[in-house]
Amino acid sequence: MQVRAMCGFCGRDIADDAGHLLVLKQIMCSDCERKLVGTAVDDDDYKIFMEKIKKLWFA
Amino acid sequence: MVPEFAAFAAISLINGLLLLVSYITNNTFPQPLSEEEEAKYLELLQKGEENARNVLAERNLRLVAHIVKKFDSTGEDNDDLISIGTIGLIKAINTYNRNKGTRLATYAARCIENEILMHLRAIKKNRVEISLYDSIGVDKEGNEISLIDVLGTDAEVVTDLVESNFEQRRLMEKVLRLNKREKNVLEMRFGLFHGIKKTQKEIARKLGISRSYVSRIEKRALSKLVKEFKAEGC
Repeated sequence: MQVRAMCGFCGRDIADDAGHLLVLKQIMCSDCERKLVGTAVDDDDYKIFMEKIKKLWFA
Repeated sequence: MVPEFAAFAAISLINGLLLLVSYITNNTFPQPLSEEEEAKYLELLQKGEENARNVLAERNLRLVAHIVKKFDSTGEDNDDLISIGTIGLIKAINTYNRNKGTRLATYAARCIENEILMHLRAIKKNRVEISLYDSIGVDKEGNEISLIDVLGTDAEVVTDLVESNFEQRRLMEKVLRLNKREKNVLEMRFGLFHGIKKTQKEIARKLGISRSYVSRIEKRALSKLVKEFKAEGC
């Protein structure tokens, strides 16, 4: 059975994504990483990332 | 007040320490990289080994917990700060430039700290702003009261404004019934339509008449208005 790798942040299939990052054992695709790096603390997207990472830490 | 604050500070400190100890003693997070190891993984990353990035991120997670501990006294939720610190670490891994001569751990520590500081500044800024719809408590019947419910304009201000508008409209109706020259003089003298008031001398120059004639026209126009108001019983 083939296991498909998915981004733990946006759910995207990352089969073709070579530049992903492993954050707390969860895969973050390059798009999400780029988005996160360009997001400021007062953006709504930032809060979403923050909550997701918090869940990874305390899950 | 002071003992309460001291108790709060002590609890906050104990919580922070427990959190840190639990992170460090937890085998989930491996030890930080030594300088040699860090150089080795950076070398691998430069050669295109993508997994090296993951190792660099994972082995610096303890750094996040360590830096968050410094912000214990802020009273902010440690879970939030840990999460924000991790974002700072991701940003550091993404933007790190080996050629600048700084160690990744040093650069990451600065990025994590900056990220937390930016978050604290944003919170501080937002605390100053309050919404009119913020709840400020409940009434006797248990209904929620917002700030807008208890804020009001002084009643006299409203009535004065309404009366003033009403009087102005009545006056304008009467001014419009005066002859053209009287209307012009009053308009310029009191700035009725454009708000710019002129002296009798300026009006005289503009209309090509003497100042005393302007004065007479003004007096006549005003007495006509007074008469009209008196006739209406005002």
